[in-house]
Amino acid sequence: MPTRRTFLQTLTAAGMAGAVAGCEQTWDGVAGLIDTDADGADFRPPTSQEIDLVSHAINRLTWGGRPGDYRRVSTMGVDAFIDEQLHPESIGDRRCEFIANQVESMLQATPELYDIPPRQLLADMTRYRLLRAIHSRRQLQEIMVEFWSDHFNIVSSKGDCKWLKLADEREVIRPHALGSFRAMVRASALSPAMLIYLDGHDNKVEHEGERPNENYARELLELHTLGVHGGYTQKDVMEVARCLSGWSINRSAFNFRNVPSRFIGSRHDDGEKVVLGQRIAAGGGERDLERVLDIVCGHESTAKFIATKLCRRFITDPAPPQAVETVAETFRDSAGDIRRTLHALFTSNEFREPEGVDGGRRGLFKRPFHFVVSAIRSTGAKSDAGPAIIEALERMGHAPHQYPTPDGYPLEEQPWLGTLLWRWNFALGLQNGALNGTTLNVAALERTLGGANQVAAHLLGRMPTESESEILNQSRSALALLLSSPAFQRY
Amino acid sequence: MSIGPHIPTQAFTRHDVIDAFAREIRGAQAAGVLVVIFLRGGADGLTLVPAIGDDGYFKARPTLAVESAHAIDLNGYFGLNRALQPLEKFYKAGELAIVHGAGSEDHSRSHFEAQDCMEHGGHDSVAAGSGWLGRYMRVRGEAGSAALSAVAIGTTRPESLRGAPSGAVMQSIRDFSFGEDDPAIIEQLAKMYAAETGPLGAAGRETLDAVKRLREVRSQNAPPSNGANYPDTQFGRGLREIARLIRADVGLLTTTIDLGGWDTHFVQQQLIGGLMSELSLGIDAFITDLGPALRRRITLVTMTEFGRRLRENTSFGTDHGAGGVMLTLSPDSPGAYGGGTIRSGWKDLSPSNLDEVGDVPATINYRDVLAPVLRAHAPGVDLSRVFPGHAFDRA
Repeated sequence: MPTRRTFLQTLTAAGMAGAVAGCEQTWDGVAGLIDTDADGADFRPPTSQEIDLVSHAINRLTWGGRPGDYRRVSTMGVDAFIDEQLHPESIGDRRCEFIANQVESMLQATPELYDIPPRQLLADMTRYRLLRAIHSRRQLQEIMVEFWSDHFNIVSSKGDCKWLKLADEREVIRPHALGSFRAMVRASALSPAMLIYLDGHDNKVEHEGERPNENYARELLELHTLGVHGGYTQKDVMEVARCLSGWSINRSAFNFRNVPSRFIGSRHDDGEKVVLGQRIAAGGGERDLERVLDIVCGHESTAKFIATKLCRRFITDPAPPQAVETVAETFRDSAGDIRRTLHALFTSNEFREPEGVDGGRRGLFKRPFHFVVSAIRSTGAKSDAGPAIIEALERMGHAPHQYPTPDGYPLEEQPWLGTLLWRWNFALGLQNGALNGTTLNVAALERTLGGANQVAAHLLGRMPTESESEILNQSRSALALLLSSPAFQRY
Repeated sequence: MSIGPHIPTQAFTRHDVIDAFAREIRGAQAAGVLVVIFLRGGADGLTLVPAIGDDGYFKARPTLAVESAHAIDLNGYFGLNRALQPLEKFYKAGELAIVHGAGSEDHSRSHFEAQDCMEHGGHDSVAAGSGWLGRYMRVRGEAGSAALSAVAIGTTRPESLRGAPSGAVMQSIRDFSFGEDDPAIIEQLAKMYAAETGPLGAAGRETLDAVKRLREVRSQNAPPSNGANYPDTQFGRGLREIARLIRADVGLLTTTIDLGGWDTHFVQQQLIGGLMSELSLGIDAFITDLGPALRRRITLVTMTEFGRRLRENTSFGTDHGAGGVMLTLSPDSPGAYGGGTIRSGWKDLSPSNLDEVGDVPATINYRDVLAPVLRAHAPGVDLSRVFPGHAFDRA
């Protein structure tokens, strides 16, 4: 007998999505039915005074726990939850697909994107990123999409990146976010958006009037692999640029809007090179790329650089040296398998018992995107992720796809400390219904969780302290106050 | 440096001391507020400050040259357009410095490219941070990350401010309202952040301070001080908001505001006169409004992405050029930054002094105009991090 879920999946597949598209209330209702989590879920929040391991894992592996997540993870166990999140392909995510695919341009082929005004496409991409972060059950996958988007940052305003950035997200970042690091670097090196952003398309063998462009080669070493103190020299940068010369983009007259990358042999420097002490024989042609990737992705410094960055995102900042050691070792031993590397991180002692505020488990500061998404997720707000939300992100200087330089949005907390006022205004706007396209039912949230105190425990990941309770009890805007509190700014 | 005045006489906590330090840092640096006015579209330097003593000027611009009668003679060669007359007194007092032939290394003559180059501090995407003001605020350390330390007046964050630790964008102080419907939330938040240690707690307490001061400013809604009369335009209203922010002492260190519309390809004279009046009347009202105590804290700089072609086009306009005019105004500091003088990157407008397109070249890099201002506002600031890769002209 088909379950309600399979029945609805069939319905959706049969074209119901098309029939209800544009009618928000209807598709929202249908999407709600597809979300089987709602059936008989246990919404009781944590009762511990401290953040326990369950809340900790939810804080670190998701964009904020939704009502019910705490019991779900408690029941399945933290290890099983981590395992689940490390295997996104095993998690059904039909509801999220259904909602995110309402942003129709995201489904169009790259050449067709050129018919969309850049401003509209940027808004669509931002909205798509938000909707997935809010709704996806593959939360760790979405976190890693953001992580690698910063790591391989491309600003969407430069030249054809206006349209090709989406292709980069679809073909470079998403497929490899938990996959092979080398495969991701390779895809990035050949990504038309990256070839434009860091001028690789203009990197040619030196002869009259033409010179190699070393911009991409430098960032490949400095930002994507070895790190700035990774032990390479200016000579290495130039040698890598020589190896990669000739990789360009194809703008043939017949498909000038489809912009694949291609190798142009006549532009390639086919002489002998030495990269980081390793000789690359003359005559390698396009195989030089593979040699460079082997050398830089397999370099000791790369393992350490990536491990450090991951530890800063998931454990504490600055990264604990012992954890970096462990994680780097796994990165190396697994030849850059991101899934296994993260598994090593999540099972390290430093991850389980990090140093920092709130019993060691709230030491990291949410960047604005994280704050906004976690506020929406944890309150169960319904949001179209439209202009009001995007404007809030822009105001806080953290809208996706808009960081101009290749280093990506900073991870450390200091640059974001000036955004508190905007966070507080966002929290009040969310509670008071002042954000167009986003609604929140506070009474329903209280009913679901079992009372005001339970709402606090759910949002904080622990019981509120006595002084927190006292302040909250006096407030007319308790929910906004919770979202504005120091504790909610951390994860 | 004494922190005495800020320490409560009663028992005080570590937070009080940290906050006192924060206030001290802010107090010490409140001496300088950098106001950047970006003239978007490529303002014609040869109309703002015409070369009235040069035959080449009148030959190249048979219909558009500013006649001597419409200019205030500054040094026999250059004049100040009469539409900028409100600025004359600052020049006479040695408070206004004029730089002619200023610009960036960008030769694209594209608004987008040239503005980006100027605001990012170069095209090199290897540049350390993002916008030059953003980097400037970042290298200033803690003082540069207060909630209202960097404010852009307008609806979108300008490229120059990208990467600032905290860059607020606003059209009016009203945009900063917080907790109007539930004023108690401010005290409740204050209690929560009082219990918070570390930088987050300090940032929260600072932000709440700023909110309270802004609330006072908003509630007063007083007319501009000293009879200042701002143009009733977006630009004029924006300058007025900046004056209110400075008066409210919210920790403002830098602010940027745009005056657009300078892209005068077509019937230039009909377009540019009003803009010059708006610019000069706005600045004059702003200085008047600030009054003698506050005006000495500001330095005002105008910049534009490029100047315009020397030769006028056939539509009674001018096309995109290279070198333009930058103004630096430092009230009550006569002689600072070359106040009371004109510095020019070119000798005269004979063809050999022009670039290959026939433009006044941008021989004075805008970074070299900004550098002494930044050094004065943030002593010890590492300018190589604000403008990476630039060899500064210490002249």
